[in-house]
Amino acid sequence: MVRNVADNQVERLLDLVPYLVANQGVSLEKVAKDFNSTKATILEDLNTLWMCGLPGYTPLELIDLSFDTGYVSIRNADILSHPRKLSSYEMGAIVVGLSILKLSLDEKSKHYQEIDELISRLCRTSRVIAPATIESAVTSSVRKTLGDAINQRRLVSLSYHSFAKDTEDIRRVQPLAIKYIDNCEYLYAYCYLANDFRNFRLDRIKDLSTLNVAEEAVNSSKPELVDRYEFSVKVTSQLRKVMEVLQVQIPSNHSLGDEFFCSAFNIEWIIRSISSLSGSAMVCQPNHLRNQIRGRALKALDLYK
Amino acid sequence: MSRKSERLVNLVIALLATKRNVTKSEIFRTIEGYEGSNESMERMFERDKDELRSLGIEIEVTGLDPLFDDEVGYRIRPENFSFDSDGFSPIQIAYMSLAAQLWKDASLNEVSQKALRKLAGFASSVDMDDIPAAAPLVLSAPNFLNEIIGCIAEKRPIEFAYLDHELNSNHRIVHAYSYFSLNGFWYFTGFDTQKMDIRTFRCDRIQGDIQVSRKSNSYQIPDDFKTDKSFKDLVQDKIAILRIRKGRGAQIRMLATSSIDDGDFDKIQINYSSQLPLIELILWHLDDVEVVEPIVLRNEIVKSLEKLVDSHG
Repeated sequence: MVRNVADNQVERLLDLVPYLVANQGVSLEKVAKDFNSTKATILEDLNTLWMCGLPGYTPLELIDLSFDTGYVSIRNADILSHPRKLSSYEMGAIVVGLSILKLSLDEKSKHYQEIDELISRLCRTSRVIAPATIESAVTSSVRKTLGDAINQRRLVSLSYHSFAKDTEDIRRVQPLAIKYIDNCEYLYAYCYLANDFRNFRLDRIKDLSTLNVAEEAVNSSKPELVDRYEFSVKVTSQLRKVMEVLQVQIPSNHSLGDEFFCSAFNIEWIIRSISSLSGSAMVCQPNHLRNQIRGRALKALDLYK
Repeated sequence: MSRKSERLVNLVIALLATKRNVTKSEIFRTIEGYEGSNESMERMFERDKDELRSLGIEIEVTGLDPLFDDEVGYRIRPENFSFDSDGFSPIQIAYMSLAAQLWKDASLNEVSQKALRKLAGFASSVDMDDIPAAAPLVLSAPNFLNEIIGCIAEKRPIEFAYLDHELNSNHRIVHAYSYFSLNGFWYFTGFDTQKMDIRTFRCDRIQGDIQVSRKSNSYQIPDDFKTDKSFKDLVQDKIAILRIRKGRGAQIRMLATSSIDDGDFDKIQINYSSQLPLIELILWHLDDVEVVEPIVLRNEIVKSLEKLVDSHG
């Protein structure tokens, strides 16, 4: 099986030939860049390739290269001129990439159909299978609107439900980037309601619309990161669940009842998370956080009296 | 290093160019780089074959028939060596390149880079701007996702350590059948050889790396196999009645099948399948949600809240 091996000269040489055939006269710099390598390595490769060819190894049979001007051209390399088959790994990355690309397109668009056909063809000829499904709570229209707004530097208006505060409000924001944090897609934006940079989970954005206003001056001198709030917990059961909810790395030599240190941006989020863990985790430090959790739980119990 | 690379490239060229299978003695006689005693050339050739195979190059062997005395012959068939000989249209090359570029700076970056440089071997010129790319800028997937895809393609069992509910690490041997992504997490489904049943695994619950078996074609994916995503859409056959404070609990309200006014609260009815996730959701909302029915659920919530009070007293 083709493993994720480090770059290997033979592999590089075999891929270099078709690349050079298709890109005659390419500069050494560009070859190095396209091969994620250095100019020195590529020069060494070319000097090696220069000695390769069909048995006999007379000038008639050898690959003919010229690169002393800093631009590379190649002749007499017909046997290796066709690009090599993708490994299952490489094909997997392409097929998943195509499936994600497809997800971002309108089902009726020409590109969607063409990509769909291409995926089937690649799977048919390679034994690689496409993902059974890629589903996210984020609709492609949200992603598209935000992507366009980022590119065109437009402001958007959105209604956002904050899970931690359990409130919903309408904000005007300047979208800056879409990024992944802990398996969720977020919009990183300047929010004019908070007058600061904020991350918005894409799946909690509602009523999104592009405003007909171009970028306003954003005060970018503000610090991007808010201080995290530190606390410690003891876990009595459901260790995996606690770890995933609190997003904390637990050392492999853990045992139940050990104290772990965690941090989060929002104290309300901590209180609600600890509550939702149904008693599997308890906060040790700081004391005022313990008191708040106790107070909130007592208040909730009042409903049942 | 260069001398060896030279020999290997020469071997590939010779085996690709031949129309019939060439024998070892022909290889030793004609291909540059094979020298020394017969024994050392033999060893050299064995290692070279292994190395080329590890790069995914298929070397065909013939003449292994014990009834005939023919010497063993070797060749590489161009159709096994080259990328889809039917060729691709420029737009298809562009789609594939774009798909590979999606992994830039993400987990599958390294393999994608290799795929990209192979794709760059197709002469094509398409303006990428023609293709609307509204995909997320950064993709999230475990490093070993492509190993899992590769193992499904080649039917190689995988072994790994999987964390259970209490974070105990369990050794699993699985014949993977399919993979998928739900809400940002990657999963794969397959036959668990110890449980003797189909199981689904979440990739980020695997501890460390996965081990790939050296034996390919070790299993078959049953024809009638369908990826079961039912942990997502279980039959919601249970009913709960909750009181939710006005203006709060938007996440729970989304589940409501009916809602009636009840003073400061709304009384809603929801259908649910399993109790645990619902308990978590209710507890998340603390004093904004009260369970009216069923009584078991009500008792569970009270028990959890009392535990919370006790442990933080």
